[in-house]
Amino acid sequence: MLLDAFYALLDVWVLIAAVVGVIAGIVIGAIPGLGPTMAIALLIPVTFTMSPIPALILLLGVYQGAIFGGSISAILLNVPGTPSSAATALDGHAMARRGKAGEALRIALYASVFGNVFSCLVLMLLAQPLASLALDFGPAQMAALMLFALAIIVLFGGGSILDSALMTLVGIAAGIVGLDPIEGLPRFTFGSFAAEDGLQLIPVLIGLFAMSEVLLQAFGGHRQSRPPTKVGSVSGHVGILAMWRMRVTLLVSSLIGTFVGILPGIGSTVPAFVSYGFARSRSRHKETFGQGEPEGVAAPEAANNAVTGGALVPMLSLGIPGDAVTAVILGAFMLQGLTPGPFLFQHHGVEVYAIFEALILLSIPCVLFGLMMFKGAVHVIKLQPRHLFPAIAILAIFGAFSVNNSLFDVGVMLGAGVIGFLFRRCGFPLPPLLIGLILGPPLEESLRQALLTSGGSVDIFLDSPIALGLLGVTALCALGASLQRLRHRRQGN
Amino acid sequence: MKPGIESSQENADRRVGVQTLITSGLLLVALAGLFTLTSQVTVFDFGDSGPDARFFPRLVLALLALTAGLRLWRHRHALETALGSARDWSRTLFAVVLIGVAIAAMNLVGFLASAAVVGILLSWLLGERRLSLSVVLPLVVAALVTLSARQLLNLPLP
Amino acid sequence: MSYHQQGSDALLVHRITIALATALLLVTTTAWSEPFPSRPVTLVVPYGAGGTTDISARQLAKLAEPILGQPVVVENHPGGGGINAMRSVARATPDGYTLIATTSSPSFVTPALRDVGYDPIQDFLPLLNYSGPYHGVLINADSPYRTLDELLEAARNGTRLTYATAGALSGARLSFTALSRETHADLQHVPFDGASSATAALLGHHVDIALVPAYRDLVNDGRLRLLAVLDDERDPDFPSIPTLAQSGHDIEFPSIVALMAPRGTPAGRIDTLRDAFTQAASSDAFAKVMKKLNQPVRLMSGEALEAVIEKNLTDYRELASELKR
Repeated sequence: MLLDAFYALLDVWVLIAAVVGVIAGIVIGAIPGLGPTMAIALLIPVTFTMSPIPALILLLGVYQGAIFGGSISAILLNVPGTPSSAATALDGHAMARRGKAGEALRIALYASVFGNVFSCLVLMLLAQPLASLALDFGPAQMAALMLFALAIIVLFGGGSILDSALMTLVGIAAGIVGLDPIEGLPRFTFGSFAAEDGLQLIPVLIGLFAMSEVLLQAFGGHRQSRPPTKVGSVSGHVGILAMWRMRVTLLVSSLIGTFVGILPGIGSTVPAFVSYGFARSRSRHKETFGQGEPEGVAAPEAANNAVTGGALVPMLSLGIPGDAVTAVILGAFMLQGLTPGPFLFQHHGVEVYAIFEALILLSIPCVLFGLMMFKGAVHVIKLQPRHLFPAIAILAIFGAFSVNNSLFDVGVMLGAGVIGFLFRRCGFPLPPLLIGLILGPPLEESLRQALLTSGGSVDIFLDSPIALGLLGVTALCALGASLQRLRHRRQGN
Repeated sequence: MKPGIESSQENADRRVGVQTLITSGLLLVALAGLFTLTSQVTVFDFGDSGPDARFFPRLVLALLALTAGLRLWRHRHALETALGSARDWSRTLFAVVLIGVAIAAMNLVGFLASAAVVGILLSWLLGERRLSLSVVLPLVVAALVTLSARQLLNLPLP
Repeated sequence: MSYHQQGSDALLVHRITIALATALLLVTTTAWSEPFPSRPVTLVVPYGAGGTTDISARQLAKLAEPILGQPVVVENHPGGGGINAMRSVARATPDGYTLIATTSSPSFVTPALRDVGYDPIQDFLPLLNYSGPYHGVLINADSPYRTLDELLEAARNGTRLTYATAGALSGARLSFTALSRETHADLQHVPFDGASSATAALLGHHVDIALVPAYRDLVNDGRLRLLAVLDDERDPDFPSIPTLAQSGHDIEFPSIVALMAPRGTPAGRIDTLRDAFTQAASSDAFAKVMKKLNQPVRLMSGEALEAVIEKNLTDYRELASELKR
């Protein structure tokens, strides 16, 4: 089977599809606001007439390329190209500011490839057994998992716990605007139809991270012009030894990414932040995180790429997409006659294993073109802020519009920019706000689903070993964090 | 998230600064949300057991008010970042109003024109005085974005 | 103001009216004489790219292009469960160049429950119905209930059963609310984000029942059991499974996927569009794509569709007014 599948890949069209897909993915991912979901959705019509293997490899190549491409603008411009690379921006951009952009980009690239290969191996080995675990995550378990994720961000996100909690709650509160997930009725829309969709993630993200930067520049005025040489070039070298030193971080982050990818609906942003927090918490030099720590780049990149393989597990075995991107890929699979389900492996084994192998082999064009495209990225970073930020403002307006073709979203983007600007003036951390906004609505949804199922009784959380275990770990984390603080304070006195 | 603080280092460290201001703002927003909750959230009765649509917002807004209050209390003696000069604020306000007006006018004048105006005025605001960079560069970027959106991505830009 | 001035004002108004009327006449005559369509037709899809509604609409558009002799450009306008796109198409110029491929919930479910900013009857003219996934009443294969009656019997006698649907205000949910009111069965609704999440919740035994489409393979694989379909006719893939109405309950949720134009589009253009899209939808090429997508082809004329929408809108409005407190 594996060999048959490999022979099926020996085709010039497969090669062309892989190369075109990866390049298109990297370029699209690097543009803020154009995520993999949109790129794949727009390319599906192109694959109508192609045969299954090249068609799906083209789309999966775009997927992989876009997730990596998102980290390029995150590192060079501090503008995450995709939501999942917001975590990469924390240390990646700090490295770029210290003249280590080339190193950061290479670490991101190699970590991406590692996470991707790792998760594809897991996918090949465990596709069917793991699928049964995903189904055990019902509303109660999902609610517990999201509480756990929020607690991790607040407790281990770095900085003041109070500030993080404040920002997380602001994010969750902002997520309430729009239609109630259970009754479907508008909340805090003040009669506006456009607000019923809620605050869309991408416009808010672009506003918080890109537009707020433009406003900060406007606030600082001429003072912030910097000599162009300060950033340095993107050339650099990252040896195998440097990556080997990060082996535990890479492995753990890939595991987190793969596992979270298997759970439906979380996407790749959460594992990126969780593994960033994890790498920070087990590091011996925590204080360098946020200042340009290589492991802070490797961890989220390995994790968000590992989601690729993980998210395909429930999609292929049960036809249940793990996130928005796999939902679109699912449509492409169905169009090619590969109906996901328990019998997919029996009926289309060669195709499916060819796609698995291609996912691993796609790493080769990814590294090749990734390295080549850094040279082009050099010119972007050498621009003065006063040249760059007008362009960023234009791209931000365009990116916010492109999500839903709606001007309301552009307004939301500007509003988020102002809020982000104010919070950054205060030194409040923005990532918890983002995570709160992402996890708030599904947290409410699963919490209320669970309570509807149980008739309002909280026993549903205590009866499930998974939910109880997650809540227990959350409580332990809170306890551990407060003990640690207490000890710090005693030592300080 | 440091540049904002660094840029106003020269007049930092006042007792009441941006942090107190913004946290108080958040406290007020949370309280306003709690008061308008009943009018802003309608509830249908399908005879469901369990919490209704007001349960989660009430919980989150109360927690938000509590956390904001706690932060104000805990940091009541802390030194904070000063507000900064009126010049800086007026420049920022100008940028916000400029982009806001461009968004509002986009349906009338089109994406290309409003994006180009935003780009040109922003680069002037940021201190670029050479024509080639302050006018031509934003124009080229706006034109490129418009062209690729229309031709490659098939997006209906206004 | 003098009398004389008033007179000249009146004259001016009169002149403007004549000028306008002439202009209007000119516009309408050119509209009539100009062959339709003379420029690309826009087909709005109220959901994101890549979904089943989007893929089938794109295929239909592609097949209709050679018949119309003009490109049909598909534009995705997702958000608000289809409401946003419906609202903007309702306000579009009714010249036949803007159409929408819509589904049940923005056509007659959500408008019955709350103000959406358009009226599905007053603002839209249905062209034809071309698909509509059958929604089934599904339980796990290891569940003790064999028929819908057994299930309802249990729910009447102290067993609390939960049912999952694909969204908060879905037609499936309303039909089961009506069913539980009619039979006094203890049925609790739990909405999920999309049909696949609802199906997963059923497969994971987190709910007892799911009201979802796209169940064929899971039923054939023996993982789920189909007790009834919510539609107004039986699913041709499972001819032995009755509809809710055939099971003795006067409740139905007909699932539609239809093309509509804003009301006020000239009749001649409507006929041109209707003929072209009906021809495309009945072609073999379209049937083949829909089979791949696991979606049925269900053709229905515009008039019949309008009757279905009107009937259900009234029914759901009645139900909603009973539920609203």
